[in-house]
Amino acid sequence: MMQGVLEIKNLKKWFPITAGLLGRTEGYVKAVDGVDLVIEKGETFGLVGESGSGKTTLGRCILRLIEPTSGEIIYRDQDITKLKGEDFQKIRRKFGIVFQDPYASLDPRQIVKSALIEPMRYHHLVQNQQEAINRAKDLMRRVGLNEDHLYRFPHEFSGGQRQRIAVARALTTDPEIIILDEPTSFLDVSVQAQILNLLSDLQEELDLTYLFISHNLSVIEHMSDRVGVMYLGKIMEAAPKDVVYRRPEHPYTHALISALPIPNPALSQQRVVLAGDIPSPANIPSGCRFRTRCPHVKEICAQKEPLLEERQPGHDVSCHFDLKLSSPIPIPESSHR
Amino acid sequence: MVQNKLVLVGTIIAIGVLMTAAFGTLVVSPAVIVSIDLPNRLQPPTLTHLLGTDDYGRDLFDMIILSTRLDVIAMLEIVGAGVAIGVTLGAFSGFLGGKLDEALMRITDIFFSIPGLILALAVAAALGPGLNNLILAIIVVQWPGYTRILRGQVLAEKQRLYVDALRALGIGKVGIILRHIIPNTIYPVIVQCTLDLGGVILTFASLSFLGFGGSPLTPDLGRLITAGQIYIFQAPWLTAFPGLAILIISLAFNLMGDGIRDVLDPRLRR
Amino acid sequence: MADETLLQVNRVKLDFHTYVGEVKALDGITFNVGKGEALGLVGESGCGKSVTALSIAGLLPENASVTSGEILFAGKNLLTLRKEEMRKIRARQIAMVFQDPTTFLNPVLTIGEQLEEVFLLNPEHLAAVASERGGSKNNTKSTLSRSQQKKIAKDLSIQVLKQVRLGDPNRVLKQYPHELSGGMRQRCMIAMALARSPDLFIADEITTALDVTIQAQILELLRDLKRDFRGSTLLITHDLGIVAELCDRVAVMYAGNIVEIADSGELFANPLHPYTKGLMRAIPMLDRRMDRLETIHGTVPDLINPPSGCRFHPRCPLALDKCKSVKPELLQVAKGHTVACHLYDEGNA
Repeated sequence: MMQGVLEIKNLKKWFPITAGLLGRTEGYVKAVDGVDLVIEKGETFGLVGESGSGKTTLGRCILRLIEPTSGEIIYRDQDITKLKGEDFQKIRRKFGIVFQDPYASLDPRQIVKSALIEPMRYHHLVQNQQEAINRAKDLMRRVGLNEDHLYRFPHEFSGGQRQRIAVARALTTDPEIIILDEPTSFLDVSVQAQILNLLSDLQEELDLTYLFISHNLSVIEHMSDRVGVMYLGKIMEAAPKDVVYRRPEHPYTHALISALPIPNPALSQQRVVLAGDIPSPANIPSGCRFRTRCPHVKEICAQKEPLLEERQPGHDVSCHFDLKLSSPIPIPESSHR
Repeated sequence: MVQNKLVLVGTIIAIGVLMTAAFGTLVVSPAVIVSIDLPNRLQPPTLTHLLGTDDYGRDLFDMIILSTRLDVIAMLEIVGAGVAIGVTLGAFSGFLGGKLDEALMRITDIFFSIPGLILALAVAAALGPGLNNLILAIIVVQWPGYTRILRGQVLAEKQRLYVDALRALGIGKVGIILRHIIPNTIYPVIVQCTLDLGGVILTFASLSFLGFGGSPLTPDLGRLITAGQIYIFQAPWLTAFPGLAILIISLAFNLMGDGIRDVLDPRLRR
Repeated sequence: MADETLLQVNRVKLDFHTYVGEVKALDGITFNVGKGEALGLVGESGCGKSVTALSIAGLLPENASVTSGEILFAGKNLLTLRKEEMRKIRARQIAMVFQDPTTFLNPVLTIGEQLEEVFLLNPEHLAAVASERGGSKNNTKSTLSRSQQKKIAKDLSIQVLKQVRLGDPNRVLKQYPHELSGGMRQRCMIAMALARSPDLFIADEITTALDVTIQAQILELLRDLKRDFRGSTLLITHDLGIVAELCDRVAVMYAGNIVEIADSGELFANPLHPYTKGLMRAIPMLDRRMDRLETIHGTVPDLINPPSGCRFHPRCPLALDKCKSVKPELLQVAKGHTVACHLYDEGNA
């Protein structure tokens, strides 16, 4: 069996809201409010959620680009939230990240070659400049770009090409885990397909583990092995992909999946439409945070917050009730096109 | 692409001044300073002495060339050091933030609260006589401006996504500041310092006129005016020509600075 | 299929003048929208779908110019109308809703004030309502005082807010746009569009900026409104799922051209144009399991120097020689199904 390579325990990130002349803390925006999850080696864990879910903040916290308020991030039996300086810089190498915006994630004044070589030399991963250049050329080939692209500036490339460069850069330090934060949201559909295929290929070649963060349910379904659904800073449900998409047990997951318009007019969709708007993370409802929109809400939901519990092996749900929900997608599992 | 004829003229003069500073000693020997020729003292402009002679019989044109050289070198040293200090402090303070950044801002506030000329005067007086002390005094006045400009740019720059990407790659703060932040934020400082050149030379000449700075062996334009003051009615050229020189040089650099700013400004609006 | 045509776009060509060159944004597009039907205009970013909508609504930017073609609506060529006439049409007959409601709702006016403004543009309608209530049929707009008009406008505002399912309409009328969430603002924009009882409702990517569950609310709303709405809809989107749900017919656009038009069911069941096929295979869809997505080789072309002949030919796996030099016309291939592709030219099909 695969072992968990990254484990997140009760991670919280609260942003203080200050007001007044003295900057008193009036409250908190609880972007991440107690997240537990385990990512297995070699898998793609899809993290899905809408605005205010905290999924992007969680991605940043793992790399400590934003410092978590509390909780543990355990990588290879070490809690990396406690590491400082040199020790932590070494760990950062084992992670890579690809951001959403290909136009902003590269320094506009650096040619691609410098951008790729810089991390290699900084961490002394190569003996000399020539070795660094060779590695850079190899990476460019792997991501489907030409060697002579090394001598160009970022603005000379299209969005899709820039994402490829971002992927190459993430690979320069030989990472084990790559965090993909909405990597294709800004790209056209046809380019998106190219990038997703590239990511799949690289995962196989280099035995990479992915945390794939996105709000796009179709992309998550395509790329992930397991999926975690976040709402207002917590995981509502985490399970293998098929379970999440076809046999979800949390009403939010159910509504989310059924909300997706299916590009097949022959199928009629029985959609679950949630009432109301998503509450603000500065004002999270008491008890179960989903209760203000839940079609199955009962009294206990306002009083007590449900815990994330393993209902079946590999299937975690955070709900007081064992709801027998119908399949949110009106297609039998065995259909292929 | 220079639309303004004035800017063009100014730039040409400024370049001429810089050439003079660089190559002046090839044309005019520094020995002129000590070549006393009393019979020919206080001569008005003639063909042999284009701008006349001073009270030691020295050719005024030669003296002006040598003095300009000193003024320009001083100006470049002042602005250069000011920028170096300002950029370093501004970049690190802005990027690292925290209490040190707060403290630095309060310090620059204090510097800003005192008018530049007065501050330079006070510092020069405190440091004592000497050319280097005067240069130091004006550097003290210049650096806070550059610090503020750069820090403002850095505060914006550090929010940009590529900075996060570099941090995620494990690149340390110093590396990010030196290799990425400073090159990306330095444009406005460069523009500002070219605008400052004219003002700095004016400040330097003013303080030198008041008696701070160099000795008779290291004449600059301000000093020439001081020396010529006494003879203002007998030999007005001794004050007029150095004064004119200061005016023209300062104006020329100002115009050149404007021109540079106009060219670079569109690029600043990213 | 609609029996009567409400909007007919004929061979419209449009250029943008930019300092880097002329962007040939529309390359002679032809399509129509029938009375009471919902036509979807689908394509990736840059294909010209938004530009098409703006041309119809008369909201093109300064640097755009239509170089040929006509847009016929209610017997008039919209492209030849003066600004004032076009404004009147926008006030009554064509309503457009955009992707970002924040930039198109006035932040300093309450929702109530903005809705009122829309109703007051149509005094005849207000007079008709008044006479219905008063029981007499002789009121013309000159007999209704301003305050009477405002009162009726307010009632109609509440009615239309209820139609878009905004709970507590009285409260919403007093609120400013920034006090509402994205979904609510979008509903207000839809309400303002419906307030005119337009003949043509143009919706440009109206759910793209919304969260999935909020989008679901809006889609449900649109589905229900469609039943009661007697006008026509032009729905612009890049999301094939939305098209499948809401549209009767679909037109697919690529690089300034319409490449395929068909009934919704027919398009999904039997896509003909290589681009349409490629698009459907490139998008991950829930009802399909694929290991790899099929990609369309290459990238969207630069419209300053577009490819010759068929603009898709550099990326087309089935390109013929002819495709490089001759631009294909839209030809009917099956009932209700037209394609612009040489593969289906007579003799080749």
